[in-house]
Amino acid sequence: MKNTPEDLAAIPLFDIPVAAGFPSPAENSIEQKLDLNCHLIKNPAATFFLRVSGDSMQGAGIHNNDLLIVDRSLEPLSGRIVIASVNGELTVKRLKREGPKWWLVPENSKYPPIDITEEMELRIWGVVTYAIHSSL
Amino acid sequence: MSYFVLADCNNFFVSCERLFNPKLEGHPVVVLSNNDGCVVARSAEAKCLGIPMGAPFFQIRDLCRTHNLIALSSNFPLYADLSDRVMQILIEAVPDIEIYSIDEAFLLFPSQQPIDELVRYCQEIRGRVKRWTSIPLSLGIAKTKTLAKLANRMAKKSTQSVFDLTNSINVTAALQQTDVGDIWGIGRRLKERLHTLGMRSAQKFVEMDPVRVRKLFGIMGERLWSELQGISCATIEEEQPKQSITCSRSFGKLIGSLDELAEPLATFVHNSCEKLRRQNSMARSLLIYCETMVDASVNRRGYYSQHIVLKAPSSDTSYMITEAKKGLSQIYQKGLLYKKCGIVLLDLINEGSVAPDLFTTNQDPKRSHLMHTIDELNARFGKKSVFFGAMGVDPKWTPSCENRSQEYTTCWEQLATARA
Repeated sequence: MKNTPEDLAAIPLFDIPVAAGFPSPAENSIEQKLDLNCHLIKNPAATFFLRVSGDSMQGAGIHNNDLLIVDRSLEPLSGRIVIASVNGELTVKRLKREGPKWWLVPENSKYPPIDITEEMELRIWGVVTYAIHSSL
Repeated sequence: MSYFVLADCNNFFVSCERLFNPKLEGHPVVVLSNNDGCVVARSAEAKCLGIPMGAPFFQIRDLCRTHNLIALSSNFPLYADLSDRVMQILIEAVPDIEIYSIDEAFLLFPSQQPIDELVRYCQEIRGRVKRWTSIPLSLGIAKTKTLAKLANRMAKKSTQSVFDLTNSINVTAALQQTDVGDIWGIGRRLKERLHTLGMRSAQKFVEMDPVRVRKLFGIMGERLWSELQGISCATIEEEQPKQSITCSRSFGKLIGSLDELAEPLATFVHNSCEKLRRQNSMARSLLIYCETMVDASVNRRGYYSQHIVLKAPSSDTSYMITEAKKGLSQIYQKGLLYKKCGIVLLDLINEGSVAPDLFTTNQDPKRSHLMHTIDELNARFGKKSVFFGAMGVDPKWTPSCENRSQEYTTCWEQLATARA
């Protein structure tokens, strides 16, 4: 079979025609060459998926109902988008440092930045590596 | 000689629950067994309230009101996923590892390694597991598995997360303060025998003459004695195929009719046959059993069982379901209310060692191909993507789990929410 542009665009799961009946994944190798999992997830043991609720990160291209890929093994550096546990709730914000002060900054002018203080029950949960947005 | 390290997750099920529900942090939390029967995991705060392991839930229910105790139904898909991640990290850090249970693994290190370096490395592993998965580990280092188990216990009792029990002076001190019954491998009966012989602390047992140990407690006792002396009798073991496979569950409500009772039974056959095929075994017989409400007034027993010898070894789900249902109709009694049933696959042998039999149909290669295809599909598309009609479409028997958390890591519809 020659690879026409249509063939390349499709991602076949098994290399047998559907008409042949019951597919046997054990015997037929998977032809798919690009694995999105490998591309998006560098450390599977430390990677979790979370669902976004709210619009405070619109400016960073993170919308309500988006899927977040979160890697807990990455360093929460200033400037990275993180999941933080604030007073018992998981929230997504951009982590910012100004001198000795740390902030959780939303990317929507409707919301104020959160000043991280000593008394807060706050923990950085993980670092957001990708946000997946459905166009449908 | 090598060093054994037992890595054990602290309050594992509770720690898993806390990952996605930070509100549970600092609160007393327990996780209940299937059917919300009794306590199977406790947070440190719950232990402080004096809740014993295995406590029936009804006995501690009031603490939810009086002490803000949170009781959760068990969420095994979540625990299994996090266990898998912890073990992945351990395997990458240490090549020689024996996964001992859902939350424990033995790690093997060459003894040439300086001990302070090993302690540091264990602390590093602990930090990594904690950061990547949030699960806290305790690690006990010793010269034998039995002592590593004890070292882990010492780690949990102290505030150190890594406990070094390689030094013989420390071993003696630890054995002196440990009841002999708390030693790994000493069961209730052996403990009672040792207590009557005046041996309360584990150190007393170790001080016994080895010839006498062997005479009184046999080869197993002698092995245990050597292990406590720091002489290793065990190595890291490869996973052995199981000799029997059990699957049983209490129902969420009492069941009276034979048809309704057959559905959970078929489900347990399906699950256990899947496990059977995964380890490339076949069963030669199966035991099915049911439990009813005990009624002492009419002297009614609560347990009925039937042992079925198969015509030929099999791992074929549909054949086994047929046989199990035949057995069930033998022990079923109209009018009784059933609360639990189960199946045990027995007499397991390796698939390869089964002699082909011309007169039975259940070794048809087409059938075994079908079974493996079903397993592949279920592995790929999720449990019960393909199942047998006998299991029922809308099971009414499933155990109650009133306060179960979401399947945060195994179900797209149940991911945790991040507020934006």
